[in-house]
Amino acid sequence: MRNIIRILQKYRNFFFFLALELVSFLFIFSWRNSYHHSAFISASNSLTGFVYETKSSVLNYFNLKAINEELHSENQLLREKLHNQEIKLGKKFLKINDSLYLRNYKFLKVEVINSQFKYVENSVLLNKGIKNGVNKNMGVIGVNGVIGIINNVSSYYSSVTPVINPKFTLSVVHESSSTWGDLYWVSNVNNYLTATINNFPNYTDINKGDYFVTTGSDGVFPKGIPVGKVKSFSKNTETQMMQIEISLSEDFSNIKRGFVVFNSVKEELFNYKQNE
Amino acid sequence: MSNLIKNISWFFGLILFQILILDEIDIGPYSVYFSPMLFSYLILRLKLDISVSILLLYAFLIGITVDIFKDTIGLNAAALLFVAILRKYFLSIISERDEFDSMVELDFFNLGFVRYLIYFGLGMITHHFVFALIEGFSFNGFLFLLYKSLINTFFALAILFFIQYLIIKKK
Repeated sequence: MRNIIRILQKYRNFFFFLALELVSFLFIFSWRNSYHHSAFISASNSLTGFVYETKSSVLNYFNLKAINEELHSENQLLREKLHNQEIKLGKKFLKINDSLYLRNYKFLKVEVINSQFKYVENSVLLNKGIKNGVNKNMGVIGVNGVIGIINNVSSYYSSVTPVINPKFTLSVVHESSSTWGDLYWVSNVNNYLTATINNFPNYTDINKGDYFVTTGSDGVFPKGIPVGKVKSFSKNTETQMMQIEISLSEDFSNIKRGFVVFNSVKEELFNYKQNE
Repeated sequence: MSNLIKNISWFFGLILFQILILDEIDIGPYSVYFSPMLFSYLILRLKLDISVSILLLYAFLIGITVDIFKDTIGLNAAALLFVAILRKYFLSIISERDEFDSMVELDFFNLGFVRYLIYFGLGMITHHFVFALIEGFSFNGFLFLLYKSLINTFFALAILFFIQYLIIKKK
């Protein structure tokens, strides 16, 4: 017994090191394996949110021109869509060419107040939280394409798992052939401008520059939001699957604006899928 | 007392510099090679008379603070603890017996160029490499991780040199 105490005393620093190391690894694993962690210890708490908000309010001055141009081009796109949707029937009636599912989605405009892109476990911070109706597992889209899925919310801020994080997976669809594939981000292959698509069948006709868009099947994103363009692809004859490298539509080093996607029939979809 | 204030201002100053300025710098697709992490300097610069257990606690505190900002809870804390426990071995490499006054702070001007490079280089590479290993959580692409941490260590040492030159330049 005395020997044990003596050993403990002699190596007390080492044991202290081991204990602290254990605590941090517990943090890491509880963080990686579940989406149910406390909000106060993440970047979406009010203190860090405040620091990042101050930063982005300063930096926004330098980006006003780029933001203006982005908004301008988005306006143009929306205008084109709007005019194509309205078909005149008679003198009094307008028929709006809009399928029902599109109305299930509402969008809340948010500002991106911090975006990491250099590390493996990247994250994006938004300036809207529970008080604005934002919840976990909602989708976030940017001006150009998909940003990510919300993993943590506090009252006024929320943090997002972006596409450029190994934890993010999404099924995507090839726009011209409607073939499905799985989107991943592999940390030592992709940088913040690219991502990888696996489980895509070999026989599909695919070209460089083809768009991959969201499927809309999970209820998180509406159908047809662009994810990225095909950059290169390699066919594997053994598994009969292609591996595709896409360049992402959203530039994660420079995102300023986005929209949180609210889906009013998400629960219904979820229940239906469970009963199936 | 002034020592405490000095440590606190280094703590906030360096972490804010890291988060608000250094992490914002974007050099295109090769940004992974320019993501130096400077805050292991907070542990490495402390005087020799500090006890290891306090050093470990301090390392844990710094790590968790940075982790909260970066949303990578536990990663930096785990990596910094390695730096803290290995610090005395790095020190024993650069110092012959009792060469340093225990009240001297460890920086570029007190250590000299070669010992600065060895001591801070070892500390920084430990931090970067352990961080990269835990972050990727596999030995897959081991060489890539090694290159990445070597290049980042180089940048971190250079930036730290300029910071020290600006703030604690000897008269």
